[in-house]
Amino acid sequence: MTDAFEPEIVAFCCHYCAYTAADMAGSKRISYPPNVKIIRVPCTGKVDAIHIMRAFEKGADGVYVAGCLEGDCHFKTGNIRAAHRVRRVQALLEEIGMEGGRVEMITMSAGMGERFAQTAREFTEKIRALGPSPIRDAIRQSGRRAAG
Amino acid sequence: MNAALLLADQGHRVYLVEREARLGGIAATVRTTLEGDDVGRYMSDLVETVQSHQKIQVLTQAIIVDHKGMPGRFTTGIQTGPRMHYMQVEHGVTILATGALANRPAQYLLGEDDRVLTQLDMDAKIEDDPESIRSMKQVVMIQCVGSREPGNPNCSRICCQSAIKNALRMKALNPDMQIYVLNRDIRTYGFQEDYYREARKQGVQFIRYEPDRRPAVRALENGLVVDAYDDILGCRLEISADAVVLSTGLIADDETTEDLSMLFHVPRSDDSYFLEDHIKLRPTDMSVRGFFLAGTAHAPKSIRESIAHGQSAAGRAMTMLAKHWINLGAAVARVDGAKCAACLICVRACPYNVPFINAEGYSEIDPAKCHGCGICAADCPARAIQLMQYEDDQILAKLDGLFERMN
Ligand SMILES: Cc1cc2nc3c(=O)[nH]c(=O)nc-3n(C[C@H](O)[C@H](O)[C@H](O)COP(=O)(O)OP(=O)(O)OC[C@H]3O[C@@H](n4cnc5c(N)ncnc54)[C@H](O)[C@@H]3O)c2cc1C
Ligand code: SF4
Ligand code: SF4
Ligand code: SF4
Repeated sequence: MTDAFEPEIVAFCCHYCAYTAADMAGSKRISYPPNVKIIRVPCTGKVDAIHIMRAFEKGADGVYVAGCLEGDCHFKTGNIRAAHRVRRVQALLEEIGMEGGRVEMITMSAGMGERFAQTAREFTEKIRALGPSPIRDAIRQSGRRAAG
Repeated sequence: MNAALLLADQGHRVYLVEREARLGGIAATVRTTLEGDDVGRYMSDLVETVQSHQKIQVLTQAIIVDHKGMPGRFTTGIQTGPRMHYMQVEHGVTILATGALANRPAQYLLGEDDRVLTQLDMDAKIEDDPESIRSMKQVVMIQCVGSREPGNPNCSRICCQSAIKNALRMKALNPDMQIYVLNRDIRTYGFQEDYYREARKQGVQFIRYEPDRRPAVRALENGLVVDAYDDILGCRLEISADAVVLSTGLIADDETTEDLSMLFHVPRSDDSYFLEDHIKLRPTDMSVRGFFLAGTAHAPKSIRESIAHGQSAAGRAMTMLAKHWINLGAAVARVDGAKCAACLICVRACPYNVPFINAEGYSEIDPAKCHGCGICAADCPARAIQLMQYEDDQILAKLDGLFERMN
């Protein structure tokens, strides 16, 4: 049986912009796909390659890091560092045979509730089109084997 | 000013930074409120009290040029006076009350024909030139001019009440005058509704229009003509008018809020007002500790509401100022000296130059200076740094929790 594919997405959101934007989306009653699970960090500069890789290891189909607009980072340059790091992880994913596009850096300001919801929708659709991550498939299969 | 006064009365030194040469803002140009308060008298008393207060230093023609520090101990550089004299002020909290701008869009012949005015112009005219009002037979008001449309999607909150206020005052001067208010709906919330009812009782005509069928104003030699479409009657109307009064509202001061949000690292909303920390739970605090909001810098508000917001800002600020110690929270970075390889990466990565290599040869972070961004923690190749409250194992545990049901 193949059940419909629902992507699992982790969004690392910085406290000052993206997380507030998500809150704003909520206050404005703008809905975004439940596929996106938010983890709050003080600054996107805090998001380590390890955190992103662990998400994939655990079965995430996509991960994005959402921070402030360039020049707006509460901690001056955290978002620029995060963007560099995301590019590194993209290369890493390609190296191990996954699509680099499964991880992305997105920026928005705190007031952009609509943009938060829109990017969440777009990213979810993008990952839906890419299909399940190979790691998630592998986890499923090993789970089935163990159960069977 | 209200916030400044409250804080100063409680013994705190207040610096009031004003861009213009005089205090007062937009309220100084409003004559009365819907409720009949004498705004002019109130404002001149307020300015007088503020200016003569021992604890308040008013800086006019002043602009903020730089800013640093941490909650409870900010340092801000200000250029003030006609000669742009530079000074630095040390302060514990900052209240942003930079207001908004009176919107004056070039619509309905505003600025082209002097028989087309704004409610603010009319407010002054009623007081300064009542004779001209007595000679008018028909007046048309158009609501939501420059508000509730792309570019300025907010309801300005004040223009419906200004319209009713002016309509009632014009009726008092000239009971035979016909007044038509073309509106998208009348937003006289709360007890203002009583005045709306009174206006209807006195014969003011309220006619609805839809944004895709806006009225149009034509100038003829002997008067103005307003073409409108009455939604309820389902027919076109042609109303001649001695004056057309536009209910223009407020628009965010984009330039000011942009400059200040860059300087202070505080967020703005989509429509360029300053953004509070939480729409419902923290309407006066900003997301950056030590910053508070008051008045129309936050969103359109009436004078009464702006005063209440200012009082609230003073109250919130007092909770910080009243303390000798401020707990800045435990989200600071900590180095495990045993793991540190003294590679200097954190020293270079920190946007605030906090880490340094100490005498023992490993990196040290002063918790009082650390802003808690965690950039150093993510960059340290030896994983020697942890950001308290956001430790790696905590974030990893969150991920494990998220995917528990799948594994
Ligand atoms: C057309 C119109 C009609 C209105 N009619 C009514 C009415 O009938 N009844 C009513 O209750 N309310 C009315 N209002 C609303 C009322 O004007 C506002 O509620 C009130 O003025 C808000 O006060 P405020 O102190 O928040 O802002 P403001 O009055 O705008 O004051 C802000 C101050 O900050 C200064 N400033 C701005 N930027 C800087 C900077 N970067 N550095 C230093 N200083 C700066 C400005 O010069 C100004 O002095 C009306 C408003 C408009 C536009
Ligand atoms: S207060 Fe009235 S006139 Fe002003 S924007 Fe709101 S609805 Fe329109
Ligand atoms: S980055 Fe890590 S290893 Fe390098 S000096 Fe800083 S704490 Fe030590
Ligand atoms: S957490 Fe941020 S502010 Fe604190 S030492 Fe590390 S990089 Fe600097």
